[in-house]
Amino acid sequence: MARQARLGEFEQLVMLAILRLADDAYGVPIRREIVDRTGRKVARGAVYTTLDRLQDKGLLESRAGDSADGVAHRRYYGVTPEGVAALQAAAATVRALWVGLESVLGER
Amino acid sequence: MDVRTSTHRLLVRLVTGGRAAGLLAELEDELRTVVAPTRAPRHARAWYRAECRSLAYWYLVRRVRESRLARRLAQTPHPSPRSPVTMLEQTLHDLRHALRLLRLDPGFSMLVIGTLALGIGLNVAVFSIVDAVLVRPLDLAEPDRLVRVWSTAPENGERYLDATIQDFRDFREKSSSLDTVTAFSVARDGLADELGYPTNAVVGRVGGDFMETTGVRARSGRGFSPGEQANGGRVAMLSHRYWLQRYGGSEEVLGSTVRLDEVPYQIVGVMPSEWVYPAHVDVWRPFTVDELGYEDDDRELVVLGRLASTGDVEMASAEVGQIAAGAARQRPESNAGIGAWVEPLQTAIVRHMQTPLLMLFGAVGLVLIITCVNTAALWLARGCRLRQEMSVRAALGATRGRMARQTLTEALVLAGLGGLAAVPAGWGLLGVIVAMAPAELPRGAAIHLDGRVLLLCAAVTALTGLLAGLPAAIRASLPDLRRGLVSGAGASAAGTAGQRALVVAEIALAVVLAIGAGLLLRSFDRLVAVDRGFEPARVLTVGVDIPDSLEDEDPLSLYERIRAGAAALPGVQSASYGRTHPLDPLGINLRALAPRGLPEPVAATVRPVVRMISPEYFATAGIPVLAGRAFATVDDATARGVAIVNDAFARSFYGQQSPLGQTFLLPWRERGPQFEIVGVVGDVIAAVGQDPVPALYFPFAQLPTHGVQLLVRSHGDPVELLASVRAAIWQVDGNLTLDSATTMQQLLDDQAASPRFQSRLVGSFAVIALALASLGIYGVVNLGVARRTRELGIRQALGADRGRIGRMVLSETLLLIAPGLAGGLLAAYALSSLLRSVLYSVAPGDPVATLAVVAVVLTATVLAAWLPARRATRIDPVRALRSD
Repeated sequence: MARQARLGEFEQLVMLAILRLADDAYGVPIRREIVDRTGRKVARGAVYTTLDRLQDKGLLESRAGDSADGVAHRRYYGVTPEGVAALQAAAATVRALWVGLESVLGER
Repeated sequence: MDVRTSTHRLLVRLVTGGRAAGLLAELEDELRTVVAPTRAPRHARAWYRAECRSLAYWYLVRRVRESRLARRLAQTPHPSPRSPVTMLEQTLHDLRHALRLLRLDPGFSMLVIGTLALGIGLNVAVFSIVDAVLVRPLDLAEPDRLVRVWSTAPENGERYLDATIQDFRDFREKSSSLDTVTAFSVARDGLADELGYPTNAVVGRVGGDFMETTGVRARSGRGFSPGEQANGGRVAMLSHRYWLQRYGGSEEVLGSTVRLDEVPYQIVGVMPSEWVYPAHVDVWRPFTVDELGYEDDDRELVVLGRLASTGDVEMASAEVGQIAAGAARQRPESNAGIGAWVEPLQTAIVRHMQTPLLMLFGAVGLVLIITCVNTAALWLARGCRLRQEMSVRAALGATRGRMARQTLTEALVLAGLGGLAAVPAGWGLLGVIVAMAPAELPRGAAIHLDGRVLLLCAAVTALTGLLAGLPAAIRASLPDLRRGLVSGAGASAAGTAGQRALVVAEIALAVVLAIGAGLLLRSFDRLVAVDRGFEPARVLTVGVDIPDSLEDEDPLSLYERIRAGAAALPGVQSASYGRTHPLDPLGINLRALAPRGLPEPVAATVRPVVRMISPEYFATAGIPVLAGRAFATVDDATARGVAIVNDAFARSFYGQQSPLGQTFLLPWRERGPQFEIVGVVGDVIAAVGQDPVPALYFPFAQLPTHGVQLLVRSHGDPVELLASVRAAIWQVDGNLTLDSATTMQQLLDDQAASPRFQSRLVGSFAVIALALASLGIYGVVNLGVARRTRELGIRQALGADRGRIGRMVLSETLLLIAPGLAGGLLAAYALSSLLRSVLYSVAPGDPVATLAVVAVVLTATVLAAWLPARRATRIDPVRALRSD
């Protein structure tokens, strides 16, 4: 079995944003989603390089835009099953350490 | 709205490879739909550019990571801190941070970049000059094989003599180590051309093989053909300078005719600007030896040769030495005791400027070192200020090496910017320096900034950045940073020890420069104060010549009318004329008059000259009559022959005896060969440092000649009279040829041009150095006061009066200044013996210069310390105790 890729925090944000955007997940809206949701400043280059990297790792797949709509230059991304598995693993890892601490750290 | 900035898009394409098109397209989409509607076009463009940069940066980093990772498949996911990947990433980060430094600390950055630009720029400028004049080979064919053959008279200590015609023939025929030999001699001829106004020009008459020996190729037109050189063809070449000066660089002058001493020559070409040996020649033409009319022992020929492929300078030197020895045996009357040697021509051309230029190079090198030291001190001071930040970083895990590297990177980046700024700075400074430079700077036309200089600039910049940043980087890597966290700015005293040492060094170096400048200034002062033996103020001179259209006129009456016309002008005190003006070193050799009955001179090397003058000459020039009388109008062609000698002549020929009443004969003079010496006048020193030339004066009426210098003494400013004097001359006859009119004072100034240039330049360096050193003092004292705010506040609270505190700070400053001053004085004394050859009548330990420098340095440094010292006295104790 392939080594389970460990996801960095930003990589997780990107993949989660893709999942939220469903069919409309290409560079610009992905970045916008992260910015809107987290309130962080996100460099465009960070998003694109992360997309490329995740694709190379097999956690994302992509297709070109539909030329009929005039968006042939866009690359739309989707999360692969391996990607989903990686996300779940990452969430599980964090949850495992959170157990018991909810009351101490509380909700914000 | 088109925001396509091609460079940015290119950048993105370079870095991202395949995905570039899609990325850029998406970016433009966003620009069109989101950004442009809501922002001004300028902001939209800026946004676009910023986004392009961000993309480029991220993909660059990614590429870096990928290239290493691809090779190391078994590595851990996170590269170790010391891997090259991390290093490169960190370096990129440091570079960005360093650039941000410009924005965050603009004062500091501008100061560093400014001083570096000045220091490096100065060096670039001076190096360009030294390179062009001393180092770069002459722009001729195989310049290292071109040599100058000198004759010597070792018994008289003469090493640089010209050759006789027979010497030239000997060298030509008998030398095997020299492939070709040529010679030229320089004279002043009348020149007339189609431009109209006649003038005098300096003509270089070249012998056979001139073109082949020198390898000179005409810049425009053509050179002399071998036939023309062998037979003295009636062709001429203009020197480059003269071509620009008189003909404005126009190609049309080629083919036109110019008349030199009434003989027509066709201008066939222009010399290249590189051929400036000698520099004051205007026109070149071929000659045949016979037409020169030199006597057997006239040493007037400059001999040049081209080394054979098998020979070198030593061989050629030895060989011509032997040829000269043979000539001494065969022709003792002209060549007894005469030797010969050979020197590369380039050396001969630049020799007189070698020491001054190297001295300038050394001085400007000192300025660079001071700049380095100053910058290093600035970096140390900054390191102290940022103590807290660095401690925090260390606590967060930054390694010492990392922080040292960061400091060094910052230093290199600022140095790099300083180096970039140094290029235009150096170019500007070069222009200023060359404008100040004396006209006799050889190869001056070739001075410019070129690739080698820029390469040096880059190397110097890198070195400077390294040296300047190193102390601070070392400091940053020391382990005691925890203290910075605890007490903020109140760090250890050792923190500024490095800075103090640097400032002491700065002061010492500045003192060295200042002493050098002081010595040069004193020397220049002494030079221009030398009594020349006449009164140059308010005297102007203009050369007058009679063209052939006035051949039949009696020159004497013509010149007398000119003199009378000039004397009658308002504002003129007296007017006279003579064959030469007092500062002209040239004169007819006495031997040309073949006198008989004069005693043998005391020394064999004495070369007395003959001057023909009008009776008013001594009065106009202000030459004192020491014994006997001056000439009078009665001493005309019908009267008894009279002569006047100067003091040098009297001593050389008559020793202690008075020459008055002594007689001698000029046998060829038809109207009476006997002359009696009726007066002795004071010596005129034509050039400082040379012994006065023995001179024999004759009344112009008794020994008339062609061509005189009119001498006019004015009541007021002589420059105002130049035009009216010229007009008065042309009123006598409009065809008279006039030479350029100038004042005696101007000629003296021109003579002093080189020492003036040196003293001014080194003086400027010294001022810069002192300014930097003062800045250093200011910085150190300022930092010290800031550090000890708390302590000083406590002192004041405990009752110390402000004056005491101020004095305390100042006395601590003296602890810095004193060793710097002492060290600098010692070093200056040791080094200034190198200056001996450029100093006139000033010893290296000159007390006046030393005292002046000490006074100036003390004043500047104490002033620099005064401001922060004053701050120390103004500290509010309450605020001081609360600070930190």
